[in-house]
Amino acid sequence: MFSSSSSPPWLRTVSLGVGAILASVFAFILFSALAALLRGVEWEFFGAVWSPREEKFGLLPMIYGSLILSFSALALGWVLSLGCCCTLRGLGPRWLAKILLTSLRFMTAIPTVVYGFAAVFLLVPVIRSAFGGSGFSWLAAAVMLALQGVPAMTLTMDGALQSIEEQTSLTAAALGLTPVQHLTWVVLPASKKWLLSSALLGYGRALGDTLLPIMLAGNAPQFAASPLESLRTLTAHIGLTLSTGAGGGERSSLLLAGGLLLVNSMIVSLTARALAGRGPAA
Amino acid sequence: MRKREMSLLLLSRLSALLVLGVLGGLLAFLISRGGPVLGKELFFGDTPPLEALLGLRPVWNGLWPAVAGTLFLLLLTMAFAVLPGIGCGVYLSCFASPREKYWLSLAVDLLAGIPSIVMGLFGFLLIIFLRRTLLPRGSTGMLLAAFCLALLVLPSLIVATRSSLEALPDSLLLAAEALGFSRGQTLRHVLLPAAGQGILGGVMLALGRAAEDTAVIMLTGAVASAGLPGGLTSKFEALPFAIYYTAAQYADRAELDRGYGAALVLLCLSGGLLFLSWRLQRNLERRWKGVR
Amino acid sequence: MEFCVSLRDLSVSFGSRQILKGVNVDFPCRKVTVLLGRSGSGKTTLLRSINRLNESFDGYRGYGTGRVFLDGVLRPISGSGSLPLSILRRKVGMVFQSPNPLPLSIGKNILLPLALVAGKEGEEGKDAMKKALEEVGLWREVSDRLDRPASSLSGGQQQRLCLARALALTPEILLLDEPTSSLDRAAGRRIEELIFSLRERYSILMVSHSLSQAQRLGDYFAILTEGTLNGLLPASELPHGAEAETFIANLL
Ligand SMILES: Nc1ncnc2c1ncn2[C@@H]1O[C@H](COP(=O)(O)OP(=O)(O)OP(=O)(O)O)[C@@H](O)[C@H]1O
Ligand SMILES: [Mg+2]
Repeated sequence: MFSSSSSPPWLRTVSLGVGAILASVFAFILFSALAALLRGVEWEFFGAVWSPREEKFGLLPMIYGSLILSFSALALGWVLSLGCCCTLRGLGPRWLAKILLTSLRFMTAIPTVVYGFAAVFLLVPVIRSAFGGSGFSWLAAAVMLALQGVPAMTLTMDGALQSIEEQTSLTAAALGLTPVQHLTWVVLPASKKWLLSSALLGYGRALGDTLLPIMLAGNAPQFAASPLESLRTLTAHIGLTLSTGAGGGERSSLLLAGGLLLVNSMIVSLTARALAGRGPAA
Repeated sequence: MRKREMSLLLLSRLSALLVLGVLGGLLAFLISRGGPVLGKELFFGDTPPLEALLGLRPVWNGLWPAVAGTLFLLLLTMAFAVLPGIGCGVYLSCFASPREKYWLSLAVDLLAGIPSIVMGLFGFLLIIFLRRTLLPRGSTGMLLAAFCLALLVLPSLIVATRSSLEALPDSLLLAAEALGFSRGQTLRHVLLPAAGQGILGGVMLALGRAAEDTAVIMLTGAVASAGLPGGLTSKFEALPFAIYYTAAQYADRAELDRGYGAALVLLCLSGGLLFLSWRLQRNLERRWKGVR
Repeated sequence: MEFCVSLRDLSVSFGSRQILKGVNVDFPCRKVTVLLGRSGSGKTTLLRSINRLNESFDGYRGYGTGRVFLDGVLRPISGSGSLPLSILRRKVGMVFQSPNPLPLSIGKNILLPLALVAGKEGEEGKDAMKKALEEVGLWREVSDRLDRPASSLSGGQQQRLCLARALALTPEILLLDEPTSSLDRAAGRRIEELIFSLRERYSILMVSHSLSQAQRLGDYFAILTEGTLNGLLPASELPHGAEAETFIANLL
């Protein structure tokens, strides 16, 4: 609108200051992670065993845990979101769409810790009685992460689909396509990019979430092979280990875990930006 | 050909019902367990409410310290975040040169994606760093937690401010310029009031995010029992942390019930904030829809 | 005279505004009828009531009767005894004011409606696509890039694609809503020539804002004033040259 020279000087200072602080947050974490990596060569941070008593600080089980948990939650959540989005866009009756939209909006307000709390006393016992074991498992965390991710993913998908639908509905109707055909064969294929970027959003959130894995996944630092086994994510690892006030190798491994999470979220954000910047806007 | 339509139809019906069913079950469960315990006792235990509110007597078996801690934390967070957030949003939408716009919005986008536990870790590292250098006696506490939460919600504030301003019709700007307003005057008397509701909505959204976040405060000074917030650098209680802690460590039925109550209270708090922000932003949209 | 569309006391309103106020007209078969009228007089609305596209809008209410002559049978446009919606729209093709390719590839733009609406898939669909593209003179230009996005074509090419898309569905009636108004003169001429070449095989209802274009193409003229229309004017009854302009201006 205006040019930068016309800005009040204090506003410019504040804004650039904010930018500088944000940049230094990144620098600080990345630098600490790097320092930890260099310092702790003998601790084998990328080893497969986490056992502080034996001076083994391998982060691999947590990296594995973070990845399989977030991808499984994403797969489940994305499919659910696609379904919900189709309901919103006219595959379901109007009343159902209305109820669903209100519910999804409300769900964005539910605190993660509340999801976690309810799941500890509702979902975990169900899993325990159905499959045995403690119930605190990959499965429990994945289900809740998926559910938690649905509203944000659905609403972003819906926004994009809606605008494409508005642009093309008259044309499709004039050709004799039914609304269902229009959605299936025109709108969905044309919004691939946004379906992808909503998946990216869901992945970023699932991988960065701390509370659900820490409350539900059991937190054993191991390579879970079945959904009923316990696992530990990088985020939960930071939360659990830091609050015990450990030092040395444990502390350094945390810094590295933080750095890994940060790098991952940066990759996600940059990819999302690149996706949003390319092609015609919705 | 028809197969794809059928399976999509099936999927849509299934997932809508599944999501609604699970959500309904979850809420019913929380309300049925938490509803009965809502009341004076939930907050104040057996301390007289007035004395508890005034801080004359400590509350041992109630949520009041956690509620007070959360409210205080929110206040402090907003004190840190609101001005820079709105200022940066205004600068981005109105004044920034293309280069500044690129770099600032890149920083904001990147920060928006940071997992909150990483922000907590940052706070923790920051205090260690400060202890080694400037503040040998510094420790985690309210101030640090609020600072990190402020960083966490800054991006959403900036984005909300920016998009509220950019949603205004160009004609508004032109009209003000044509009347001979200076840039500052246009901004203060025309643009900001016009976008005010949207910006306020963004603040509510940020409040909601700060109120529910657990991972940051877990690493920056929240504890299970600290009484009422004692000062800027002391440890504190907070609702989300209390819920998290109860789920893992509850000792008896009464504590568990308090956990359900806390979950319900927090749900109402963030639900209320979201509702407010939604109303405000919808008002803004309605107001300018005819003009665009 | 044989007619393809017959409207009796057709009224259309959106919300509380009445747009068409009792239209009575029979459009002739296999001729070009040009609809003239001021902006906002309801020309687009009239075309859309023939393929029931008005029903896609909120607040639509329609009265009166409309009948179409398709497959040798005269049927009501809507109500009992009418054709199913998708068949009606397949038989009554429409081209819009500005080109509106679907956000798909060039080929898919034609193949998809063929498959979904006309049930022509595979080789059959491809043949029909080729035929339609040849009919609008686009085949040579796009045959080697059918999988590129349709938005990569020029405006005139896009409009011919839209025409081909309608033709591929083997319609009997074509509704053309100012098909040349968003194009430059050369591209517009191209479309005009196409319409001229189609006049023998299709019944064409066309909205035009250009009097000279109307005179070049039209066999009949229909003049819409404030939502009413009564009867047609054969081209032979229209005075020529500058007189025509004042003549029509008087009618409007
Ligand atoms: N879906 C709708 N909802 C409400 N009003 C409508 C709708 N469609 C058209 N109208 C109104 O009906 C009137 C006639 O519209 P129409 O598009 O038929 O005019 P037109 O003769 O085609 O004009 P032009 O030459 O400018 O294209 C206009 O005043 C328009 O505002
Ligand atoms: Mg029109």
